[in-house]
Amino acid sequence: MGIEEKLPSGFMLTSVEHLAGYMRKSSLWPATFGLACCAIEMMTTGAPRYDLARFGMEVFRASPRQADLMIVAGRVSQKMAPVVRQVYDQMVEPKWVLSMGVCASSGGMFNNYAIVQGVDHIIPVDIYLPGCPPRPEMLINAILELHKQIQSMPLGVNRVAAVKAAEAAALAATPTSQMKGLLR
Amino acid sequence: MTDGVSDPNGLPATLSPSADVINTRRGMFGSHGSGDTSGYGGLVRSVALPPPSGRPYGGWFDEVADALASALDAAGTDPDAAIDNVVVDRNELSFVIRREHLLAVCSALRDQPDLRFEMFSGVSGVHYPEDAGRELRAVYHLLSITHNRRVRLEVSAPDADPHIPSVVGIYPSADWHERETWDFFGLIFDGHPALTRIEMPDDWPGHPQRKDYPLGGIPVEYKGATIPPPDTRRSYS
Amino acid sequence: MSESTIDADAGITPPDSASAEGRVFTASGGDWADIAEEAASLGEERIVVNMGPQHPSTHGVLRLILEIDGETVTEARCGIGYLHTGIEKSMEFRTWTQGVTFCTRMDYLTPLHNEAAYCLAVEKLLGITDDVPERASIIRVLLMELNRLSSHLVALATGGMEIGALTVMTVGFREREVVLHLLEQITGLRMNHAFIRPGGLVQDLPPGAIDSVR
Repeated sequence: MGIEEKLPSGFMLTSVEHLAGYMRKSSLWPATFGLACCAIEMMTTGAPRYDLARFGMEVFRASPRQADLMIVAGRVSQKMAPVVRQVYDQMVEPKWVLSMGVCASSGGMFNNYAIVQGVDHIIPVDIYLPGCPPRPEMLINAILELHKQIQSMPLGVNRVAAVKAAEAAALAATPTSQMKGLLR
Repeated sequence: MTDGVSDPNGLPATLSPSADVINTRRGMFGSHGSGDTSGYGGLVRSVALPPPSGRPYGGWFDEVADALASALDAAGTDPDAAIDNVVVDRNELSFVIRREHLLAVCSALRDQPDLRFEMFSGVSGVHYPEDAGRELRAVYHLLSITHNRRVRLEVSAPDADPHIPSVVGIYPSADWHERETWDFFGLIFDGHPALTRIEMPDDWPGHPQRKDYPLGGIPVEYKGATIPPPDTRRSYS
Repeated sequence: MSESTIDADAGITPPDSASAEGRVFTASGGDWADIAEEAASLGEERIVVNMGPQHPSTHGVLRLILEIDGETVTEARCGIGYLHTGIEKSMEFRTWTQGVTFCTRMDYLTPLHNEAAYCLAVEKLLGITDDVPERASIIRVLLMELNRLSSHLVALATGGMEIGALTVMTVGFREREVVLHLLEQITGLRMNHAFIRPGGLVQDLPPGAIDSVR
């Protein structure tokens, strides 16, 4: 992306990572992608009682080109899916996606022909937030978790290494439906 | 708040013995053939359409039925040919109409001063796959603001020939409702200006709300198990 | 583009009608590209703009196809269906009580009104309208009126936001929190409460609810 990608790994890169992470997370601008009920809870999270402005996020950018975070709030229907993808593609790196609510995370209670069963079928999601709809406090919790993720995001060669490690772990992991014996 | 006069006990007309039984359902909804833990597997339920009601219908229903018959007569349509049945059930009036005469009936309902059903509330489709020859229905709801009355029209069409005349010329607000009924049931409305998909994507195959269209869910993965979608799983509740 | 054999151009009026306005098309989806091409080739000053389904002022998703002459909108057509959820078909595989949880999410600003409409219809079909306790009916009305308050506050708030008065939005949502707090005290949830069920309600009002409402 920029000069921070070219730094060699070491003390310098780590400091730049911390600084860049801090800058990015403190003013993460969300893109308006409210679709259904979760959109109303997203709006109340921006409202005075559960203020998002204290995290620098009250500015919901209409244009995806100016936004960092796409909060997919609500059920994504089959007709809306190409639009979601197009808006995601129009966002500029670095970008993150928070899928808010069960409908965006996994299709929710609508396991049928009309709803995409999880927006991660279309776009890569960084953090999932269950709830129907999630309370504003839950949304703020998810956003703060995402902030932690962003703060510690590796850059440059560290990032390449991290991506490789994540891919290896995912290939070796047990599939969810095979994770048996957890209740003992 | 009494029920229709047709049943003196106040029961819904569908329970009366002369109701038109079109199907018998056994067990609960959902898949059959797999183990049933619900205990409702022994349910036997007959699906019946309300039978035609005899005169007097009660309340203002007679007035409306007479006015409609005379309006159709005046317009040159035989009322007995147009109106198959009049059903008064749960205090609501419904006319079962033959599709060839739908436009005449709608014009009469809208224009006749005693009727004046100016407002069109919607068309919906229904699909009864077991009722041969009358599988697809379109149900029209009309509201009269001048007289504060509601009436329902039901028109049927067979699967092999799913055409019904469009009432857009009489009630322009039927436009989108008929598009929706086409989208979900495949009922073709002849004379509609632009009968295209409205809620599914434009190139979607099939008509989703028909009974032979699958629900379309996917199996859900949990830690340690996979649960199939609602239309293919065993009956639990 | 659709697989039907319907002639989607059946609504074209002949060019020699009335004024020299040009051809009139009925664009209803599926033929968007052809319409745009024709309009461009006619060489008029009107621009056709697609105000797409994702737009800050189309609350929820609504696609508007606008013909703009300078800054004046001369024609507008809606494309809908971006929130079609298949609720009706899903309800075919649920019991009557489970259906309430689906219909509650149809209009997410007034979930109790949706539930009430569904439950009244189910009660009428089952013939139990007279068996619903009067207290339940009255509480239903109370809940619906509270919900109407919250919905109208959203309308005012977003209306203000659209014309640029952003503080109206914050004020509206702040007042809405009072109503949502009440609803949470009574039903347990802020939104999409499946509280009105066929036959009455889930449970009676909790103690202290009436005082809170006052």
